[in-house]
Amino acid sequence: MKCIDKPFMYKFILAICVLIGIFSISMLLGAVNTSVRDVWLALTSSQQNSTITIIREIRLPREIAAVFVGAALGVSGAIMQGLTRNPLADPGLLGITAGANAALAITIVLIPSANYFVIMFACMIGAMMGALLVLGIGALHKGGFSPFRILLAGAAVSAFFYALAEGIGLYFKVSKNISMWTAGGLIGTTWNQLQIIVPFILLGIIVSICLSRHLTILSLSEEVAIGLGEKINHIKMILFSIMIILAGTSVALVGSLAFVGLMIPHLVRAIVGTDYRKVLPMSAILGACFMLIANTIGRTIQAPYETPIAAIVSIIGLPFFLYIVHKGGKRWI
Amino acid sequence: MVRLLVYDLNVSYEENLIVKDLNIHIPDKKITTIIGSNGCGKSTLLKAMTRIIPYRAGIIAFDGVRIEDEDTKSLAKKMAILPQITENAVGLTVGELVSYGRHPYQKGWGRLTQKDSEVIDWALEVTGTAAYKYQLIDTLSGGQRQRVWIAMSLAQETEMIFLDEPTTYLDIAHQLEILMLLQKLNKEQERTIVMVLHDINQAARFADYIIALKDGQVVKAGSVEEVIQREVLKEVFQIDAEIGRDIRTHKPMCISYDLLKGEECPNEKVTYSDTSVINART
Repeated sequence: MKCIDKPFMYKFILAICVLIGIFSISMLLGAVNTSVRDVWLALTSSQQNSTITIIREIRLPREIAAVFVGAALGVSGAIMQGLTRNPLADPGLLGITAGANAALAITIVLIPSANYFVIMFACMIGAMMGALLVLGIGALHKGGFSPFRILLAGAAVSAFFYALAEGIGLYFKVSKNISMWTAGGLIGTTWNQLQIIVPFILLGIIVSICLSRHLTILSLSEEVAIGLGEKINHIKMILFSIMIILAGTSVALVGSLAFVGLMIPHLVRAIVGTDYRKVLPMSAILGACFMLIANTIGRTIQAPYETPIAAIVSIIGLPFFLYIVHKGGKRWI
Repeated sequence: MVRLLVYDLNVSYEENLIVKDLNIHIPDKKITTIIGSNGCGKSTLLKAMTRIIPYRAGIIAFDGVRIEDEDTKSLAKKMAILPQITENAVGLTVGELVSYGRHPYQKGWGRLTQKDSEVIDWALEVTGTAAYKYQLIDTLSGGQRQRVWIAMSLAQETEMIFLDEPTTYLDIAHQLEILMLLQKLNKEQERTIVMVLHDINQAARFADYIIALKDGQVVKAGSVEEVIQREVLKEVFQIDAEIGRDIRTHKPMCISYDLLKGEECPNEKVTYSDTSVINART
């Protein structure tokens, strides 16, 4: 048996085709009518007219951002679920996005002139703080890593960080700036931002896929992992850092988005099983597809006005979350 | 010849000292069984010997090197450990799980070499699980699952295999099947096997060497004849045992037993990790 078995290869190739298809369609749809020819010219030529400029400078960076953020959230959710052996793990539910959010608020107040690079790092540090707090609270209690205890800790820590961000926003009168970042979704994503963030996301995804077999072993049980010669603390640290990078950069780019990291890995497992060598690459692709769709709906459902992408994701995500709690939770716990 | 030596071992779980000044050795190429009542530290000892839990004091040496000084990956090529069955292999196929036995030999993403594939197929064959290779673990029965996990540790190609209560949750026929499989591996491939067992008679039938523990200390370690004795069982399990001979295998066996008079269920001292075992046995 080869590790890449044939059925998985077919599924993976199919998923990439679907991604390309969705990407193409979403390029065509939007507030401004565009033709296939316009899109083609925007991508391949250096011609200039208003439609082509809209596609090239507004729509294209947004769609690319959607692809990378979706992939990052999908992969970080999958890593988190594997590491904590918790089916309900999601960067948005475990204090990570809230932490990044609070760090964003603090940065905007302390360094009003902060450039994108600084904000991204602030988000990562915030994400790390959030995660450490939640996992720390979980570890305080003997046998504390039960899925529901972690989830409760996540809810509490998230509430705290959101309150902190709100408080800072109100007190220093920067609420508008903050909400521009957090609720804005992908609106106004520029090539500059992409240039800074995409390399981090790409690197994170590639490294995590290289380490995916370690993640599978950890997800089985720590005893099995040690028996197979795994340096578990070492590998947990690396995977944890990758997850923070992926989740932190996503927040820097789109603000808080719960549920993507929860849903995507579960969908993926239904398709390819639980071997993370297959789950991680597939999560990246399906996460990208999902965000593209959500983003396109956000742009078109009441064009020319934007519907916040967070709202769309939550509307799809909440029923799914309840479904997992009801059904999937049982056999993991 | 002895490759694994335990000297003055102390292991504690939180504040409690579970294993106290324990000295044992594991005979090479033999089947060693650790017996004792619930909470006597037998699983703890197994976990300490396989570096799953740290120990407080003493020495555990493998081939003359302290196990904590040896690279964990190279140790994984010498000793395999099968913990008590976890239910988390949900969603993996049998082939996928067994292929993870090659983990210590792999680099990078984990593409299997020709050698890896051969070893995996061999492990599936020996354990009689080759037919399920493409099935999900979830769809197998308890006995089949246990054989798949054993296949995974075989794929690790180690000289020593440690098993923590490999027969728990299985019915008596499947228990025997697993133990006979282990015996076959020991006889035909000279694998050293160390396991924790609950059943005295199974230990007597399959072990070459028995270590009987009580309160984290060795009561008696030696051959079956030496350990399966009235006095030893009295000390270890607080039972009054009648020892006879198995009419087929001619090994010593406990034919009948009573609780010692005046003792009120001394075995009720149940630890957290052992409750599941009790449930499974009742």
